[in-house]
Amino acid sequence: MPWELKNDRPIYAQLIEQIELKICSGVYTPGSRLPSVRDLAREASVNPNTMQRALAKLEEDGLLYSTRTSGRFVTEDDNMIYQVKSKLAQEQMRDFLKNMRQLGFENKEILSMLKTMLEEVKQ
Amino acid sequence: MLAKLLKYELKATARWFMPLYAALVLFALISRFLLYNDPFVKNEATGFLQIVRILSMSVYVFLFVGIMVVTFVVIIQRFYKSLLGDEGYLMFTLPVQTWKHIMSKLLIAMLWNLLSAVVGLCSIMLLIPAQDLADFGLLFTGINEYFGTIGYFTILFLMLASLVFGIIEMYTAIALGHLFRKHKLLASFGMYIGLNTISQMAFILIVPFFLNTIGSLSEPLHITPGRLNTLILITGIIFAVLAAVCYIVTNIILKRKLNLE
Amino acid sequence: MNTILECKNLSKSFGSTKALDGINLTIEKGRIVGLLGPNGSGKTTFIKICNELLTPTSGEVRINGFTPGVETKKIVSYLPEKTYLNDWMKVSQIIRLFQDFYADFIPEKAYDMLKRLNIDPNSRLKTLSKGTKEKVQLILVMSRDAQLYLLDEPIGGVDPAARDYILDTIISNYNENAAVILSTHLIADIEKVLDDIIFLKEGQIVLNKTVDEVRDESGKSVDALFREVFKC
Repeated sequence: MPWELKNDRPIYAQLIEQIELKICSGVYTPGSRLPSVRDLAREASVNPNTMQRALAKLEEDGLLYSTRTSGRFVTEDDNMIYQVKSKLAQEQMRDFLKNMRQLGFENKEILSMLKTMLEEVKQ
Repeated sequence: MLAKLLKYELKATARWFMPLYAALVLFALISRFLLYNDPFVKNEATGFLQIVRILSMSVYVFLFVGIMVVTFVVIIQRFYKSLLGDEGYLMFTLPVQTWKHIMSKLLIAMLWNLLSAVVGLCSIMLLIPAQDLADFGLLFTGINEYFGTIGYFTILFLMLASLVFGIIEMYTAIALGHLFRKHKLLASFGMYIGLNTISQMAFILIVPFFLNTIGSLSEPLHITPGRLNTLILITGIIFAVLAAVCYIVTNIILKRKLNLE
Repeated sequence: MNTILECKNLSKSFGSTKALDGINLTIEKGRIVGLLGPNGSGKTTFIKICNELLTPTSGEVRINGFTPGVETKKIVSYLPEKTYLNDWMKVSQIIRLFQDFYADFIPEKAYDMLKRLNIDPNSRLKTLSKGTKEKVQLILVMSRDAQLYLLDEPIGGVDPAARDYILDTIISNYNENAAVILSTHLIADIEKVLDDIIFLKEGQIVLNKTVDEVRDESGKSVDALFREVFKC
């Protein structure tokens, strides 16, 4: 999963989201060790200090933890990962709804369109 | 650090001189062979041989002049290009004091000047008939007879001091020319003429003063070996002092007024 | 002491034109700083003064507490916007030269980078293309374990692949005790790599912020803001 950074928002905030996404989608599995700050920065082509700040924030939130000797790990708390997952899902849905309303659809219409779409994708 | 600078300066310049020296000695040898060892030389020389002989001598003379020109050009080019040209970006960001840069250029320029003189002289010796070679020896014994052993030292001192001044004067002219925003080369040339005038003024003003202390100026000066020796010494000292002043000026300009653009 | 570079009221004039006009600046160790501005805004002049290649008209620069000189040259690694390589050396000889003069030069690193960029250490400098020469210079500069890297337009003349390699080298070379200042006008390529940005306009600093501050406050990329500030 490549790193996707947009131009209009702070890089730091985007890095946090991207790492959250990588954890939720299983790129970094619970309890696994993260690459070093430098390697992550290289991978994402971003400033190491910015990456460091993003990781520190995630640590503060409890999604990552670090040990003095062996580096930084993804939390093993499934519940916490689930919470992050639903937070990301809510953000996606909020964006989706906002866009749909902009197109002029009412809630009822959106719901039925979504149902139809889900049926189609299933087949 | 000076030793390292000298090493690189020597490497950078040797590729010019070494092939030229080798070629000069080679053509001196060829010409010598054609002049003296030719089996036909006592008979009528054939037209072909004459042509080869002239050709070989011409190449020799061409190389001789070439070495003089290259020696002169390299002095200027190594200072101008490698310190004040694009290469200066590299040289002046090395952790080396400015005076060492100037010193390394100066010492290597002196080395090639002396070597060119020695190689040139040797090649001439190869060409002149053996009996005339003795005249060279006379020159040295002559100095000894006239001045005594001290003469070697004062003459050598004068030669070295004037050589140092001759080189550093060009450096100073280039450094002064560098202070101009435009037409730096033209300015350097003008500065060289200016420096030359100033140094000649120094001689005109100082030498008579010393002559006065040796003997009265009002009377016709009676030249003795001792007096001439003193005069040579004084001339050498003036060259040395002028060279020192030039060195300091060049150093100040390159240290405080460097503007690489 | 965490400051690596400090400038007080630094000005430089060429004749009647002011190339730098009262620059005040402090740069901390561990930062990657972008010096951004259009051509003629004073970026190169600033970097050259820090390297003692130009003499300031007034004010001063201190690097690690020293004014530019032998002491600062030991710890500053400088990439000029010009190619300074002479024409008679081989790549391996110029590496040897750096090794001879800079105590912090790591030749293994240089040879490693040469290999990755497919440059033959035995080739003569004069046979190299302009782009390759620039790469060789960058390799020389980045193979030093310096405390301050001053890179003048490091990504200006190279192709996109080499540009990525250069940025990658800057990131992987990152060291919290060393600062990097790089000047460029190609901001979009580089802003993700920067901590701080400094906008120079006609010799003056018009903006000095972190990249995320800019994005946070303006909702724009540094590149977009730059285009706005320097709109013709």
